[in-house]
Order: sequence, then structure tokens, then C-alpha cells
Amino acid sequence: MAAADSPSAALRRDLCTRGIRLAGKMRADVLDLLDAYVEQQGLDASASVAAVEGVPLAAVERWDEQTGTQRLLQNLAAYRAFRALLAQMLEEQREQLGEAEAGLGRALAALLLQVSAFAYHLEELLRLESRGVPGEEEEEEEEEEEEEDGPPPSPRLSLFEQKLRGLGVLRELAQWAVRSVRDLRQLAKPSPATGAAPGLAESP
Amino acid sequence: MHLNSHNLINPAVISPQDPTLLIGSSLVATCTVSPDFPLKAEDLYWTLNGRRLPAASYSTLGPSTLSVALARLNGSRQQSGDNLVCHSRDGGILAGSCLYVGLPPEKPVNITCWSKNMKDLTCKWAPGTEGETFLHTNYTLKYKRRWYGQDNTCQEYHTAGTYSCHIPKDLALFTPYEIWVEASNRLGVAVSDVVMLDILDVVTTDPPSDVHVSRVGDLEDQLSVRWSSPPALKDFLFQAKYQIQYRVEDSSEWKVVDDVGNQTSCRLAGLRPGTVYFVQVRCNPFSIYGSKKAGIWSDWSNPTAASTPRSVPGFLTKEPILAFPAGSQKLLVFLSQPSLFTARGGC
Repeated sequence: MAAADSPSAALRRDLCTRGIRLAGKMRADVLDLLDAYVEQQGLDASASVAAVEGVPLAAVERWDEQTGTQRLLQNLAAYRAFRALLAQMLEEQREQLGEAEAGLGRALAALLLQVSAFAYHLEELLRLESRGVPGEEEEEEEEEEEEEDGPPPSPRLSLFEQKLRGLGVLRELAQWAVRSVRDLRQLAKPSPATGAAPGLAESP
Repeated sequence: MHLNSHNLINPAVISPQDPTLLIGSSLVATCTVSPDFPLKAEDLYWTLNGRRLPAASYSTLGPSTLSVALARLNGSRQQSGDNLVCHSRDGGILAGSCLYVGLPPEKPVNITCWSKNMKDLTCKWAPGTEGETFLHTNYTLKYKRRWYGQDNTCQEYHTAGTYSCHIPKDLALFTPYEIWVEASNRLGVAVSDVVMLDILDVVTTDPPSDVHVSRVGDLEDQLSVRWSSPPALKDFLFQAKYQIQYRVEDSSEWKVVDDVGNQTSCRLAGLRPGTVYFVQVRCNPFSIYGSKKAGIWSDWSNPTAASTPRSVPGFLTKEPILAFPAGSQKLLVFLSQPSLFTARGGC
């Protein structure tokens, strides 16, 4: 229990708790946005959309065998991808419908902020974990480059394909929000003395 | 089978892709399955906005090409376009095309503008006589100084309603402006008539913020109202006229006193004794630097409440209607006669 009571353990628990709240709110907002999106785009809510390029899948095998670091890195990669995808959706929305569809645009912009905040939260957790972990700085550099460059250019989709991709993005983000809550709950559990999964790497 | 992402081969292609059409027009669309997919024309069907289109409107144009004929199209159900989708027999989406069916925009009308304290300009307009185009229609307000100015485009839309725009700064005084609105959508462009105005002719101001309402001694049917002239215009040469409106607490009906003129105080008379009144004042700055226009009324100030004094005995019923013994003294209750008090406007 000594480890659990240490300042870093307490901070980790606190970050996980706040992250769980953020993910829960994000999940509720994505579901509301999905309803609005389906209505505005005239889509069938049950339309089947196959995996879309660039959209990270929440589905994972052997989830309970993952280490804390793996969980955080996969979450971070996913939310960085969603950040770029939502920014692209917002841009397309503005191109197509201008500022007139302010309701949906505002909701998309708000979700983009939530995703960005959550990604930042995950970075904080990773920083907390990875004192001495190689690769963290490289990852930050990569992230900075990504932010400077913006989302990677992708071939122009037809308008209908854009609609379906938006549906796919929001659906998968809703799934990720659930997965993230579960991941953070795992991370919030006290680490075993060995530092093995499911907790974070052991502090030196 | 599902629609694949763009990095893969699309299972089918619809032609035309994302067309724009006038209401009432007809369309023949084709769905051609890629040779890589083992689907025949008879394995396909069409939906429009999720509703299956009747097989009678289909034609087989080749072993793997199915067309659908759509006649007399209605305006698009959503501005993001109607969804015309080609499905495989199991319901999977093979391809889709967005149909934009609507009307070209009409000429925007009824452009009206106002300037708050000569610092900015807000304009609103109506989208034309019919309004609905079924397509996303973009409105751009443009303005220029008459004679020698260059076109400027307003940037802050929807600030005073759906069809409005706000120009916050960089406006010149003592020069006329030309203002117009351009409406555009996928089917065309329409430009309003040009409105000519001088900022000085369309000035309004903030509502008076320091409205004080007080009793006039013991006069139970009167209240005194005082306020200040708009501070934002203190450096400008202008005249102001004011209006007051007031109501009793339990009524939603306002009485307006519109002959206040340029005074900054007024006495309301003929009020009901012992009654709470709400009072509001508004200002109309006009004749700014000699402008001949009527000026524009400000919003009403926030309501200020005050009560008139209770009736003096001379206005009460002659006989007490209740009497309570209170120790060695008696408390007598008189009712006032409401018919004696009829509110009068005027200062």
C-alpha cells in the first residue's frame, strides 16, 4: 500500500479519475452529436459503414493482457487521429454548409476541444509514468511536427463518402470513449509490486 | 458488403456524382458495379433518403449496371443533400451520391442598418419573397464608401438574427456608404438593390442606464422619473428625445408616455396609491451633426421599480371596514376607492 499512497500514485489516481470523467462526458456528447449528425445528413442511423482509413478501431484483442503503457500509447494515438479527423470534418462542414449550420458545427468544435483535452490528459499520464522511459521525447517531437503540419492530406472523397466517413468517425469515437473509461479504471488500480500489467511501469 | 474506404476499390460507382438540380427536374442515375465484385444488375436496388425506390423505375443497362429514373424532384430534404444510394441485395451500401435539388437564391430585400453610438454598423435583411431554396445559401454583406471606396465584406454574421451582419470598426463618418447583400448557392447568385446611407442618419444609442424613480413627497398618485442623456454621445452635437413606459406590478400592459421631448426627467401622475410600478426609458438620438433623419430608438432600459405612497385619509372610504383592538388602542382599516385614480400620461 506504500506505493499507492506515494505522491505519484495519488497523482496518477487523480489523473485517472479526472480522465474517466472526461471520457464519460465525451461519450455522452458524441452520442448526442451522432443523433444530430444522422438527422442533418439524412442518414440511416443503422447504416453499416466499414472501417474507414485513418479511423483507429477501438476493438482490441487480449485487452486484459495489456500493460498500462500500451493502453496509454494506444489511447493517445487514437485520440490524436480523432483530433485530425474531427478537424477535417469541421472544415468540410464549413465548406458545405457555411456557418449557417451553427448547431452541428458548434457541437463538432466542442467535441474537437474535448478530444484535444483528453489527448493532453493522456500525455500527462504518460509523462508521469515514463520518467526514464525512452521514446517519450521523440513522441513529443513527433506530436509537435504533427500539429505544425496539420492532418495528413487525403484523397478527395465524394460528398456521400464524406457523410459516411463522418458517421464512422463518430461511431468509433463513441466506442473509444468506452474503452478509455475501462483503460483508465485499470490504470487507476494500485500497481502490483512487479510493475507488470495492468498498472503503469514501476517508478524507480 | 459495406462501402469501402477510398484506399480500396469502390464496389460500385454512381453517375452522376453529387449533382445539383432544379426543383421539378428529372434525373436518370446509374450504378455500375466494379468488375472485381461478383454482383449483377439484378442483385442491386436503390434508396433515396433511406426509402427504397420502386423497381418499376429501374432499367438494366448492362450485366452489372442498373439505372433509376427520378421524375419531378422535390426540394432536398436536408441541406446536406438527398442521399441516393445503390445497395446490394443484402442491404449493404455499394455507392452513394448526394442530390442537391432546389432553387436559385432570390434577391435579398428590406436591408435595414443601424449604428450604435456611431462606432459600428449592423444590417439585417430578408432572404427574398419566397425564402426557401432547399439548398445551403450563403449571404455576403458588402459595403463601400460611395464614389471612391473599394468593396469591403462584412465578417460577423448572425449577430442580430439569421440574416444579419455586424461591422465593428473602420467606418467613416460624413460620407455616404453603399451597402448590398449577395446571395449565392449551387444554383446561382442574386444581388440585392444597393442601399445608400450615411452613418449619422442611422444612429441609435444605449438605453439610459441611470433611471431613478422616486416619490413626489406624499403625493400618492405620482412618481418622479429621472435619467441622464446617453454618455456615449456626449461629445457629439445631437438632440435626443425620450419615451417612458410604465406598468403596475401585476399587469403586463405598458402605458407609454411619448411626449417627454428632450427633458431628462418626468413626473408620472394619476397613479394608484400604494402600488408598485415598473418604469423604463428609451432614447432616440437625432439630428446628429444636423442629420435630417428621424433617428432610431434605443432598447428600453432595464425596469426600475418604485411604489407610490399609500392613500391619505381624504381619499379613503368614509367608514372603516375592519377594526382590531390592539392593546388599549384600536387599528382601523380603510379601503381606498380605485375609481378615483386613473393613470395619466404626460410630464
